[in-house]
Amino acid sequence: MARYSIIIICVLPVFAGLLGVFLPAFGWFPIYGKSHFTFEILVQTFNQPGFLHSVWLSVSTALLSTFLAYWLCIFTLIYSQKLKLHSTLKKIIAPLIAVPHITVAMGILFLIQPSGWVFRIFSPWLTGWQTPPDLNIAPDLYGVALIIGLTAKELPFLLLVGFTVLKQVNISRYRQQITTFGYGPIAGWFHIIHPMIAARMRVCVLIVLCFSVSVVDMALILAPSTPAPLAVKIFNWYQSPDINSQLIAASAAVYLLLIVLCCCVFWIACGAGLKTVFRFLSYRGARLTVRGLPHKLIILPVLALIMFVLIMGIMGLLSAGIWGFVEVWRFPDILPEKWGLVSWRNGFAAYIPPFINTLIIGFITSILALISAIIWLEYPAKSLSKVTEALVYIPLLLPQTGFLFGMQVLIIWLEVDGLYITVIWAHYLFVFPYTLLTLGPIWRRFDVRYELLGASFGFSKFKRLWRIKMPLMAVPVITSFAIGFAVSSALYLPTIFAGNGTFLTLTTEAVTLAANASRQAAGIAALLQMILPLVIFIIAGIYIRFRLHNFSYFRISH
Amino acid sequence: MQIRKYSFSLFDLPPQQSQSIFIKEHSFMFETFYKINKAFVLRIAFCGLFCLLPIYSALALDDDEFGSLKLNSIGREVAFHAWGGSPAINDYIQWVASQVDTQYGITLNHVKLTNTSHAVSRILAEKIAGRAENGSVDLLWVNGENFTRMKETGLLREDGWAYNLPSFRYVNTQKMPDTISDFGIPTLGLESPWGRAQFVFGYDSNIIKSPPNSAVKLLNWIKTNSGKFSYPQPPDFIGTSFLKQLLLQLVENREVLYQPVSNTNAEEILEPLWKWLDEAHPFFWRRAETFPVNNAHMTRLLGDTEISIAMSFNPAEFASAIEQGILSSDVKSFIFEEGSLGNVHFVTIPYNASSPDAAKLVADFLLSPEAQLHKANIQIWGDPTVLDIEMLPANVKKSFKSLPQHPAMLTMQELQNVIPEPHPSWVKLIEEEWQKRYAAGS
Repeated sequence: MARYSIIIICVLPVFAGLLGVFLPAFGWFPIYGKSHFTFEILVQTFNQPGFLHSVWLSVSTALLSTFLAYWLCIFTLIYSQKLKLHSTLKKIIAPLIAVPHITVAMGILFLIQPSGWVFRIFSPWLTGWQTPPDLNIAPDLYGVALIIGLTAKELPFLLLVGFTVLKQVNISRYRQQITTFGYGPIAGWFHIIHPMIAARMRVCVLIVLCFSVSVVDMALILAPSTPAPLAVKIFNWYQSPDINSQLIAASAAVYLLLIVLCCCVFWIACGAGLKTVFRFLSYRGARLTVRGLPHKLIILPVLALIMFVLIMGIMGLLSAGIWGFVEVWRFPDILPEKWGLVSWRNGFAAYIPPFINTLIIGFITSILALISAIIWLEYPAKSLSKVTEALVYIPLLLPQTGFLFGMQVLIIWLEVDGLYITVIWAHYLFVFPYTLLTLGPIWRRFDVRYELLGASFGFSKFKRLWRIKMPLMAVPVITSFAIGFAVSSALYLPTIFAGNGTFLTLTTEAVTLAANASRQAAGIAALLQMILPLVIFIIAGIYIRFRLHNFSYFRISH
Repeated sequence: MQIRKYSFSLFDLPPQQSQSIFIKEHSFMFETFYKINKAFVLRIAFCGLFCLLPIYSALALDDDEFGSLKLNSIGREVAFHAWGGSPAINDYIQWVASQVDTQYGITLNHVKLTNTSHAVSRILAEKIAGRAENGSVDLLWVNGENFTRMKETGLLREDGWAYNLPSFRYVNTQKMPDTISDFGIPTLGLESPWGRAQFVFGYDSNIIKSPPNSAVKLLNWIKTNSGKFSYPQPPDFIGTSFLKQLLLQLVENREVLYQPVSNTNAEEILEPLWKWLDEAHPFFWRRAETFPVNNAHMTRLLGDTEISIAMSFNPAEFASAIEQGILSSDVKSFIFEEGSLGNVHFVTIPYNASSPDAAKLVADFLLSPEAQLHKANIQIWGDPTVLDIEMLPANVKKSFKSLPQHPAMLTMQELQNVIPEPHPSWVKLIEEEWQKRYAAGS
């Protein structure tokens, strides 16, 4: 029952959203006087100038950034235990997971653009530049800046998942086997451990990939614009007042969905290919050992790359924070010429109501998402489970404008627009898939013997869940709560669409602030968006550290 | 009399104590006061009635319809959906909110938009879902294409309300036809004029001594100062407006641009524009391989000295950016000497607004000489008025003429040469062609 109500709550708006995209894509929009189905608009969209180039940009940046994030994550996992990087890395990645994409993007842009911080640090004493150089970087024509941004944001997420998965696999047991077989540490990883980890991380990686194809906010800032990636073009078409552009946007969204599917298929196929190659090599008995190759030759570049990406992210956040307290900071000064609170013109008090709204909405949404994710995982449906699960992820994949339009019609038709509960519902649609994603892989691999033990004591299902499973799962549960909160607090369009635009959250304030030309305002926006999820992450971390310290041996940890 | 005595003894107590007792005994105090000064209280009430009288007479003076609007609107909420990206404009709207609260008892909620299309699609969703009243938007800041789209889709209130607003009498539709024609499309009273936008350039006077104030001079300047010029990428509003401004300068006969594209030989008309851009682009910021994302981005680039010329549709923009610390105080403004593109922005009421009467009152207040004067002040917003200053009462007229000036802002005389917006059909063609030529990749 519970599962079906979750399905109705989640899937009904998803269907409305899908209709909101698909009907116009095929020419059905009666209010504009278009009421016959046709493929003409799909053709027209395909013939838009630069369409294929846009598609190529979307695909190449998404695949490359996911590839980088994934393999950097795997290499980090290989070396993290050996180099005792585990706890340090966790501290570095927490803020990057907690903050929204747009904040990371703005930070990175300020870092690497020609008038940015990096150039300010080296000018004019080294470069001789008194004014910023006219270099076409950030955004560049090939989307390198976007790839850096996406990798910096997605690598921490994958690392978080990776650390959890690593705990489950219990690699120390395999390590001895690897050595007995005569594999080197890296080859052993690829032969034995990687297949196990890859299977457990696959869904997360695919979501990262899908997200990278359809990302808008980050791409608007960091991607090239002549032409822009497809998702950005869709965003622009949707914003255009021209009626025909609305239809083109919808049909381009259908193309985008297709592209997302193709990318996923490609990724899975590559994974399968890699597996086959290694299986073949295993049968051949290849040890892949290069004698005399010092280990450091591999470790150092990879480590350098990982650090580069993470430091970019962190420095970006730092610079955004600095800008919130700057009055004047011009090229080529390394640090602001004049500090001040001039841009907090509205005073801190103005941000209290949005702060409370964000807190309440985020809290309720992520608790609800957590409860329903646990129910979802505890009572797996036998039939159709794959299909319904795929539907749950759709809100993350479709362009928000089109999707939310269909959903908005449903909400208005139900006469529930502008209510707190509706905003929470809209947030839930985006938070629930993330919660499911971060909790699912761990939950599904819970050692069933604990439950059998509980059952042998005569505990009811609920008691087993509450007394045995939850305490053991406390760390992952709290972590996915924190992630859910971060996702909720970053949502902009769903808040606006479901709340009639009258619900102020820190993100709605931040987005309007960021529309202003001043970096100071944008810095405040970034701070506003960073602060709550970060605090929640830190509190969660402290709680895990001190309250859950007992019996930590038994607990499943992130 | 016992009570009275008690109240006197209050003053003998130490201050802290007296305060707390004062609070406790407050009701007693009032009673005492009332008893002693019955006559005084009555007098106050009488005075209050006298104060109310002018308000009542104001109601009676207006035509009946508008008077009933006022009575209907007391205590109503108005959701004003307006772009919220500028702190100055947001503050101004807050000021309007406090004014309509005291004058009419209306609660004005500013819903800050990042893009007007969000509000348009909200109203559209309400229309599809069949909500003919109690809509979520009462008043919307709009112009140009968004207006045309809403008009064509039947999303606007169609009783010609805008012409009946009392403040509309100060609008000179003969002298300023753009107050009743939005980008050449007749408004038919579906929207009420609010302010005036004019295309201005901002330049770094440290680097540029005499600003290139024509299309030809600008081209020469760009060629000699490589990498220091760009415009926001169309379909950004400012970017497209720059192209229109150029086209108006480059075209032989400006009149053709005021006809729908289909009536003209568009390809030939646009030819000089593409020629200009083809010549200039290689000397652009980043060789025109990348453009600023929007106006805000371009202003930042001017502040970072990556570029030396920026543009805006608000004559006061550069002045206010200097005040905010975004730009250095060396930035000044100029316009093309042949005149600059200008248009009017409006407020409109959707067909299903919840409180249309209150929204009309707000629209009327926005158009009132008082609100227009406040808005035109550079220290507030600096948005030029849509009223005919000559038609205003003498004291307001004087205030308008003695508004403060800013060194980065052009004077009203300098801004006088306005070229109206071309027919809206040109926008789409220019944007599509531009996309094809300069943003289609290889």
